[in-house]
Amino acid sequence: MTKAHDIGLRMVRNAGGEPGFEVIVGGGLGRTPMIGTTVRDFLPVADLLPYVEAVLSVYNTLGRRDNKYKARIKITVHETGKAEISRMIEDRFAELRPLFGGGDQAVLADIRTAFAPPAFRDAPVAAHDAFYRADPVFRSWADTNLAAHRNAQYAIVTISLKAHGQTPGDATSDQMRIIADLAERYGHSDLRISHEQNVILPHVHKSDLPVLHAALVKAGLGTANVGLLSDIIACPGMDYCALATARSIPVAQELATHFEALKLEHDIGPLKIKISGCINACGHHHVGHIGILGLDRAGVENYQITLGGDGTETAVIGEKTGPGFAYDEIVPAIERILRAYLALRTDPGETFLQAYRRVGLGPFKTALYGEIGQKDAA
Amino acid sequence: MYSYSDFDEAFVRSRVAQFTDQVARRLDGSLSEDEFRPLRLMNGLYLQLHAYMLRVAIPYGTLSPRQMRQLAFIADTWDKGYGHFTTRQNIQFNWPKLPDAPAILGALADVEMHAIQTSGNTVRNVTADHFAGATADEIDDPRPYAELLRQWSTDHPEFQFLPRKFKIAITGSPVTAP
Amino acid sequence: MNRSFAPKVVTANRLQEGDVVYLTADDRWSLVHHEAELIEDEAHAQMRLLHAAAQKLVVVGAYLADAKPGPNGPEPTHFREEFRTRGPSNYHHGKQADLTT
Repeated sequence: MTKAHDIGLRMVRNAGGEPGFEVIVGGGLGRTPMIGTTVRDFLPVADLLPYVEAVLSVYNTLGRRDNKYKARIKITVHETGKAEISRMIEDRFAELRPLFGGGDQAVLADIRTAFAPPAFRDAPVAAHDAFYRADPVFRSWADTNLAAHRNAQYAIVTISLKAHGQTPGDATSDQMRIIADLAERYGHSDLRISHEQNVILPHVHKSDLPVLHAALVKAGLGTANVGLLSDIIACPGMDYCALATARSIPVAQELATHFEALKLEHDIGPLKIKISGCINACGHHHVGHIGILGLDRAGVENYQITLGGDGTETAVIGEKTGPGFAYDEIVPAIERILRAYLALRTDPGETFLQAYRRVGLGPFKTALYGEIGQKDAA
Repeated sequence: MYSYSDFDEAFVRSRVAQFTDQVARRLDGSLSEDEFRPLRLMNGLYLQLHAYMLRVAIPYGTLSPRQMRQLAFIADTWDKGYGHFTTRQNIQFNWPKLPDAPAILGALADVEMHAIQTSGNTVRNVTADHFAGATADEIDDPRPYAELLRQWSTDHPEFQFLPRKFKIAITGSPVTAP
Repeated sequence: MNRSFAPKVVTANRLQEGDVVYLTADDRWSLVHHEAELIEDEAHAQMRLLHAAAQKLVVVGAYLADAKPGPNGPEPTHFREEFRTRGPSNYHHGKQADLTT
């Protein structure tokens, strides 16, 4: 995610083991998707504010105000070049750095106290482990919706806001209150919202997981699909947004319900589908393993597919498959892609993204358009 | 989690008071839509396809239970009983009415929340990895740095009219959370 | 009448609620597209748009949208305008709900 922002700050260690940031500038999706450029491999953490201010300051002077489609810093970086913009940032940084005079570090030290780790409980987890072995429904949820915590007695819980057929990212007021109660009771009163439009309880003791899971299921929040096909991110699209060129939400809803009916998503395994309703790409479609972009083609909703995108530290912009699909054709088109993946993967452990990287666009184009279509599109 | 300083509190309250006045002047006709539009956008209030939309910042995606309950209260009182969590870790209310917007911002201020810099050519809400402070492979918790950036960028006089919007993401782990 | 002029309706959002509304021939703002005045003359369309835009305390963002005659009154021709007559497709919210209650 740090490679697709105006500034991405990725924490790394230098050779001496000290923490710092890799500073990545000029990434972004939207009309002109670009992976960011690393302008600093290692920035000491104490230099964060003056360096970020230097980037903003250079951009504020250099950024184009004549054309809003060329005004983002990604265009500035692209047009100026990595060497020159890095030099300008470093020059400005050298001017700004003395002006901060350590005041920011005093503020940071103060802020740090507010983020002290919670008082982790020390309690046995044997009952949890037994429950995990005994209860297949709990196990299915635990396998998808839990992540490893630094404290081995704890887990990070992702509460899916992607019940099959629901609007991705929506929560009712009752669900919000239940999540608040559960965070207080089982989660050290900490809640996070993920960019994948789910809610996170970052600190749950494993002994509390079975009762937490039961409470989530009761509230319609127990969907076991995090990281799977139906964990789709989607912008509001033309159901709400004035800028949209097509709808996103109903496409997400129909994909989720269709593959749930086919009972295929666990077999398909890890998959990120991302849907945007216009080229501004709020649904991050460029970095979806399968990206869907809704457009207006001659007064009809039309959906363009990209494959192979990746939003992690190995960021890649997905490749367009070819001509888009009408609203009624998009779900069957995605099914053809996924049936092709199931047929060509070497074994169930090879994920969609891995398979795509091995075989490329070709077999998926054939699945989408047939042999003739592939020749036409080539 | 981080609590507002007196300065943060006073700033957010003063912006609510200012926007309350601006909405009143729009409704009585002393501000035109052309004059009012940038003012409402500075407070996260968009006019969308079917209704207004209020985008509320959730700094680096971190919420307290009290804040989550207040979002539920807002959804029940001034919206249609739900909220939409976005791909930038914010929440959007899809059905607020213009005369209610100041009261909603007041209710947000009661729990140290706001909708400032959720629109416009400014530094937007800083995002952080959602497993911060919990994940096993983290070098350091990114949230204090994200909060430092939030304080620095909020109402920064030099950066209120950038060429375009500006988004910063920070992660404490070299590997992206799944 | 200009043969190449696609018929139009004047549409906007209500200032206070944000609701999508249409200008009627008798100068009301209706939630119902069928009640809109179908304008088939370009000069008249510009006059009606000016009339709408002047109502600064009632509506926001008035514009001319393509429409066509239908059995019950004007109908939208583009899918965006069709969605605006109803509300979102994921919930029974907006006008599709308001008009049936």
